[in-house]
Parts: sequence; structure tokens; C-alpha cells
Amino acid sequence: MLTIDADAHVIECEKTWDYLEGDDRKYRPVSISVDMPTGRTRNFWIIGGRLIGGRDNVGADTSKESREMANIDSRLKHMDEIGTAVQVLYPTLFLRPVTDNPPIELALCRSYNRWMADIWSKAKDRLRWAAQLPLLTMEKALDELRWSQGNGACAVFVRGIETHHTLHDPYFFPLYEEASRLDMPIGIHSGIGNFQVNEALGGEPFRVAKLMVIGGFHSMILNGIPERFPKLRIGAIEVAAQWVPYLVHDLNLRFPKLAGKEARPQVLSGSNQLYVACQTDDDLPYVLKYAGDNSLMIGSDYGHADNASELLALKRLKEKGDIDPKVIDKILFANPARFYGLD
Amino acid sequence: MLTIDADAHVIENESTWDYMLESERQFRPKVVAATGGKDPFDYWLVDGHLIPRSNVGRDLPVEAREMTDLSLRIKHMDELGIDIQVIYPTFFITPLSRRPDIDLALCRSYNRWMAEIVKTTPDRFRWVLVPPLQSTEHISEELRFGKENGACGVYLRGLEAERMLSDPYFFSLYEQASELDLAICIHSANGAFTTHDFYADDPGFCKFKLTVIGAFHSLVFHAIPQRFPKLRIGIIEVSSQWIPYAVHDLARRFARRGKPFPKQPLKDNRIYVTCQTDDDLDHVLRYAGDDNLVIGTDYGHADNAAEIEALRKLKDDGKIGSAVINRILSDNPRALFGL
Repeated sequence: MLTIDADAHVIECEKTWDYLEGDDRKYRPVSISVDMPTGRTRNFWIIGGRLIGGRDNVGADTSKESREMANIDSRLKHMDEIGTAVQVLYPTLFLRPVTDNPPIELALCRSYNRWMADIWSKAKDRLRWAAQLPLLTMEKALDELRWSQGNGACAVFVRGIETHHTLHDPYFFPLYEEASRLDMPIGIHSGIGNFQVNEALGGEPFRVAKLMVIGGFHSMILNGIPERFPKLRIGAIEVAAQWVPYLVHDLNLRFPKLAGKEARPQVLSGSNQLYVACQTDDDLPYVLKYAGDNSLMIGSDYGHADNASELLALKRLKEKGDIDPKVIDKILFANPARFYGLD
Repeated sequence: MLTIDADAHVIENESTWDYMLESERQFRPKVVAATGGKDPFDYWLVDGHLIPRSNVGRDLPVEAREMTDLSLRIKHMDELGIDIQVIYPTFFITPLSRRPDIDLALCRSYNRWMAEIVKTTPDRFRWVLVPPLQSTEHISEELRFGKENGACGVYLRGLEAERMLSDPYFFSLYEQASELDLAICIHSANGAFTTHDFYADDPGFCKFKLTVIGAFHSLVFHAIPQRFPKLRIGIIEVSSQWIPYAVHDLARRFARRGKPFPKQPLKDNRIYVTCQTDDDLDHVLRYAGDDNLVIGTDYGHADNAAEIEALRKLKDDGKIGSAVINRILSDNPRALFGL
């Protein structure tokens, strides 16, 4: 049976920016290492005059050439070893706010997407990817979405907050409309795209990366985005699934207070639009009561070394004895296949 | 057995601000109403900000919710089977002013108003004081005043003074609260303009609930309870259904850092959480333990958490054992609030 890693990563490197063209080359990120007062050396990108982190979230259980996609065969071989047929690739740099300058954002997104397309072209059936869109300029974002979809992207990467808007804001409706038309799901990945909120929360990972996504997912459901865009699929990626019962409980207290809405205990389990990537330490028998059999996926966070990283997550899930093997198969294949349109 | 409502509210009115000093009267909040439109509620105007007076349980008599007639409130509590209510504000749910002098004036007046209200009935009402966090030199005075006048806790919101609650800025507060045996009560609310205003149209999940859950996580992650070993912390009005998630996440983070994670994280950190009757308590209790859940009615309000019969429903539901129910209704809030 094929298995799909619903959340794997690339680590951006110098090659990522080799796709900058013409005048955009002036925006090329510059890598820098800084000896911190703590004694650690930390690695950053300089982008638009800002020091942007993310170059240290690197999994030592993966080789550099695999993480940075310098050697695709090496990556594929490792995937074979860990029992993964297909990986869906998400960025690393963009998990945090990178720039609030539209031309810089556009340039970096374009270069990243072209790098990803190049990678995909070498392993089309095994490496798919989530497009990074320049959301500060919606018109350009839609152009990039269309281009990316034609070049191997199978999802739109967004963070829990994007630009200066919550995810249910009408600002994003053109994106959702076009993503629906192109059959591209929205992968709300652990991360944040707003400098002010990120700084207000001290960049604390649980708050800015995890809670932001849960809040974004909640606000989209509460504000009827799935109903407004009935073909749109929305996933919460790399935030575990243990919060799903909490979310369902809270929504069901709020729905009856809204005009025209009633409580929907099956808000996730009865939906074919909502998906969540789980972790092996989630109480899956309990979570499944709320999520249902058809909405969970799983990812390894390949390439990273953070709280969500578990290289052998897919293998371990297979070995879990506390849920029905048929459900395990769905989590490993059918559900991510449906979410990412890989059927 | 004393049954304790760990989260009840008062609705402030014009007399709340009667305790301002002469020099502070210029900061006095004013009730204003829109002259056009269909808002069924009015607003407080404070320092140029409009605060809606919308979260009001209009099925309760105004004298009960504003505590202008305590006998009415007490009669209702008797009907509901509640012996003691711990009173929280309503006005202070959002950030109000960036000016320390205004913040101080509001806090002082509220605290004196509450002290006056409950002074005749300390056996039925206790309260949570609001500290003037922008004027740290005045915090000590307010904490002592509160303690001497029936307060059993210190009101904090999920974020305060544009900071996270694990910030060293608050260490002096925690030290003093520990010495005075006052619980820190982190209520569903947000005191930071940046995040509050970002979520302007959010009904409360992102700007209030998740903010408080984030505070819980920060405090445990940064070992604040270990730094202040007498400090007790309440996590109020965000339900308890999130506890398994937060504990799972913390456990992973501790493991990655090679740090031991307690088997009873709430107990070991002296953290108490208000549950709701719709929580899956049999599941939540596996993480929270029997000694660290409390419950409240949100009396006075009409929001997501409001359930006036919550305490009675918990008793009658039979979903969990009676010994644990009694702990939630009595022993645990007594421990949290030092009653």
C-alpha cells in the first residue's frame, strides 16, 4: 500500500535563490552565522534588512543533501528506507514572517516555487509540494498559484495568520475561489506570517506556530468558509490532532448562538473538506470520535528537528495497535490522497 | 460541603468609578449609546476606546448582576445551590488604556467598589482584585488592600501590558501574591492591544481563549511555578477540554530538552482549571487529575462559557464519580482560593 507523508520539508539553501531573475536578484537573501552571547552559533538569512531565522531547524537524522534536495536520489532512497512512497513538501524559511515588502515577497516566492518545480520535475510521482504565494499582492498570488499548480504543486501553503488578516477575512476569498477552481487545498501549516503578532507573542513556538493555526482553522469553520467555497479543502498541518475535540466542543457552543446555524457535532467527521495531520502520540481512539475516519493524515516533518518531528511517524502509526488497521490505512494514504488531490 | 462557583461576574455600572480620586475624575469611564443603528447594547467610553457592554446575562435581574442588591443575588445563589461565588470583573476583559495613570485609576476604583460591595457578606462572596500592571510601584498597595478586604485572587488576562505572563516583569507580582496567599487567576481575556486588535472580529476563541491557553503553556514551559513555589494559578473560563493537547505538547518539548515532565503536571504546578459541563471530563481527568479542576457558572454573562446551572448539572450528570465531583465543587476551589 502506498503511504503519503502529508508534511515533509525542504531546507532552503543558496540554490533556492538561484531562480531569482533580473532586478529581483537584488532581493537575494544573504546567509549569515552569528555567535550568540549564549555561546551558540545561530544561522540566519538577511532579507530586506531583517535577520530571519529558520536555518537551524535541521534534522540530524537526515542528510544535508536530502534536506536541501541537492541529491534527489538520496532523498528518495531515504524515503524508501522509512517506508514513504510520496512526500508533500513544505518550506522552512516561510514558517515565520519573512518580509512585509510586497516586491521582496513576490521575488522570494517566485524563486522558491521555481526551485520546487525543478525538484518535482525529477521525481514527479514521489515529490509533490505546497506553493508559497506572495499574499501581500493578491493578483500576483493568484498568478503564482496557477503557475505552481501546473508545475507539480498540490497545495497552497498558508500560516495561521497571513499578512494583516485572519484567514476568514474576505481578503482571501479570491484565493479560495481560485484554489477551489484549481483543486488545490489550503494547507494551514504551523507558522505565522505577521511580524507584529509574532513579536507580541515573543515568537513563542506554541503560541505563534500551533495556536495560530488552530485559531485560523476555527475561524474559517465558524465563519462558514467551507460552505462558501464547497470545493475547498482545508487542512491543519503540523499542529497535532489532540486539540480537535476542544475545537469541536467550542464550535458547538458557538454555532447555536449564530443566526441560521445549529450545533454540528460532526463538524469535522461529517465534512469532506476539513483535514488534520495527527501525531503518533495523539490519543487517536479518542480524537477519532471527533475527527472521524476520513479527516486525519500524518506527516514526519522530515528535515526538521522541532517538536513535531518524527522521522518514523508513518511506520510507527502502522504499528499502533489501538486503532483499526483500516483507519490507519486511511490516515496513511486515502485521506492525504484525497486532501492533496493525489487520488 | 461548601459549593464554590469559581467564576462568577459582576457587571460594572457608573458607581464603580465613584472611588476615583479627585485628580482621576477626568479619566472616569462614561456609558454612551449609539444614536443610530441597531445595537441592543451601549458602550463604555474610556480613554477614547469604546468597550461594548454586550456580555450581559439579561435573564438575570440587573440588581443581581450589578450586585446592587446582594439579597437578590444570594437568594438566587441559594436556589442554584451555590454557597460562595468568586467574583471577577467584566469591564477588564479587553485592553483599556496605554496610560499608566488611567490604568491605575480604573483598577483602584474597581477594587474599592468591590471591597465595599462584599464587606457585609464575606461568607458568600470573595473577589479577584485587578492589579495596576502599568504602575508597578502601586501593585503592592493594591494587593494588600485586596487581601485585607476579602480578595482571594489577582486578576490577570492571557496577555498583560503587551507581555506574556512568563515575562520577568511579573515576577514581583508573583512574589507578592505568593506572600499574601493570593491566587493568580488568569481569566479568558486579553490585555494586549496588538493581539486583541488583530482579532477585532473574533468572538473570543482566538483573542481570549487561546491567549489564556498560551499563558498556561508559557508558565509551565518556563517553570514559573517552580520559581514561586507557593504560587497558585487558576486558568479561568476557557473550559478544560484543551488540557490533553497542551500537556501532550509540553511533554514533547520537555522530552526534547531532556527535562523530566511530571506525571501530574497540574498538581505539581499548582494550577487549577475551570471545567465546563460539556467537557469530556472522564478523558480530561486523566490529564488534569482529581485535585485540579474547579467549575464556574460565569454568572452575570451571556457568552460561550455561561451556564448558570453548571454546578448543579455537574452534580446531577453522573458522568464522573461523586468523590471527584465534590472535589471540583468544593475542595479544589478552596485550595485554589485559599478558602
